[in-house]
Amino acid sequence: MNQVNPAGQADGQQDRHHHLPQNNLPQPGQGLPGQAAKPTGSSAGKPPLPKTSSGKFVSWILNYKTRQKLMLFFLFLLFGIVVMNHVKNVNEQNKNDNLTSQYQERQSELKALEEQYNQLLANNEALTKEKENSISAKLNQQGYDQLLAELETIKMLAGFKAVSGSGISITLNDKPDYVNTDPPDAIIHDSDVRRVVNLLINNGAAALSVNGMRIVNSSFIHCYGSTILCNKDYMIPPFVVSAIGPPDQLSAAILQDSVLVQRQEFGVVVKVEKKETLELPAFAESDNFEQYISLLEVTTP
Amino acid sequence: MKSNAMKSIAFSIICMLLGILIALQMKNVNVDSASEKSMEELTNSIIDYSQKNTELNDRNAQLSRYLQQLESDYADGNTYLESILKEKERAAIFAGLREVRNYGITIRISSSPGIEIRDSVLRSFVNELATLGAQAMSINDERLVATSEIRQSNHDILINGTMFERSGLFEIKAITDPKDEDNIFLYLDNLKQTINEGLGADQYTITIEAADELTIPALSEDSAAFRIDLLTPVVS
Repeated sequence: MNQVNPAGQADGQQDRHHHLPQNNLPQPGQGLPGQAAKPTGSSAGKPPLPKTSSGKFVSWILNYKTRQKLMLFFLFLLFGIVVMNHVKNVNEQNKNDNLTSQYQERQSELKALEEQYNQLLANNEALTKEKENSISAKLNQQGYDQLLAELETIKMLAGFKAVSGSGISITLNDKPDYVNTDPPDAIIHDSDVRRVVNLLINNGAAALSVNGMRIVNSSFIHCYGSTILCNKDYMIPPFVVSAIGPPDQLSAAILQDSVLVQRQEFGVVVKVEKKETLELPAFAESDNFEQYISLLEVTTP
Repeated sequence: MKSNAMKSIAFSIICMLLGILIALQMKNVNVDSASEKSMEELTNSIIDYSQKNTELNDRNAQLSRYLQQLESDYADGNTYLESILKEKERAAIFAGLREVRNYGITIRISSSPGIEIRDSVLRSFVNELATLGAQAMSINDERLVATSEIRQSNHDILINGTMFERSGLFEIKAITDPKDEDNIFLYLDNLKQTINEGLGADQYTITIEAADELTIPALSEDSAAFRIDLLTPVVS
């Protein structure tokens, strides 16, 4: 093991310092060999004063103790700034925690309302079905077959019956990974959904739905902020437009539409699927449609 | 030497504290929190569902009452037929199978010589009127229903299978709520302006008038607009 001698050297280690011979050590007032002699007296041993003010400043900066003090000053300054920011962040975090807890409460409230809605909707469907069955049974029992047939036809024409048939489904969606800097054509607008609906109607669609909502005479499709309003329902992408009709004709109408083709160049998704059997629901308010004909007076009895 | 050591220790402690505080700050910046905008959307959803639930509750109560009344009327004799016939008639009105009348708006569109009217212009007005609450509409006395085509084909526009020359006059009628007249005119005038700006003000002549009473014809069950031969009722 290496031993360190009193001169600070490990045994066998090369000395890294230059030692002057003892008899060559400078005396007070005497410079190093080769240097001019320095003045003696009260100024002896002190560094010469700088001649300019900038030189004075630099010299002061270069002084070790000054540097130490400056570092401590900036360190404490940074410490103070960070502590202040931290206190501010803690306050904001408390505020956010309150907001977060309110948000969670509202989320629970919304979930409860959604469950209630689903239950009420199921009840509504069951009651509507019961009413239809009751009317059918009574008319059949009493021999009013023609009246029953007329009633069923009118309900079909009004969109009050769930129907099935061959057709197509079109999925419209915004450009994947859409960002705010993308052009407006990269997202689906109400005019796009209307365009698809109109194309389908003009090419033989017998019944349509948008995101499960049956399109009937009182339906409209309109932009509402970042959503699309259809039959009182606010919808967000993707939008699935389903249509019962001749699948080949309907499909060609969508795929060959120049406007929809151009929109896909902006990244918008237009996906067409032919369906051998497609089922469309009845109009959701078939038990509550009076509001949509309240202004109409029949001219002929 | 002792004071230098103390200084170094103090220095190290301060640096450590600084490091911890900076780390905590960075953690706070990265934590997700509910934005005010999300809260607003959530509140709107809550209001929307509350309204829907109230409406559904009322509808279910009405259906239950109807069923009870139906059973009661059926037990009494043929009085139950009255409510069924009434419902059939109301459904026929909704379906567009009855001629109707009331206050409404008439939009007349004609074009300058050599210019032809586009189907998209007619559809724009029809869509706008539907959004504004029109309960019945027709174009050139062709009743419009959900599956009515308004389709351009060469020099004609087909409506419910009937051809109309694009160089002719198109008259859109709609029965609307008189209370909304100002609002309806505002939106229709804006649309008219947009169309004129897009196509050129000298191309089309568009007039919009209100009438205390206008008549909208019925659509026949055999109309080309109804294609129920393609539909099969779902039996559950």
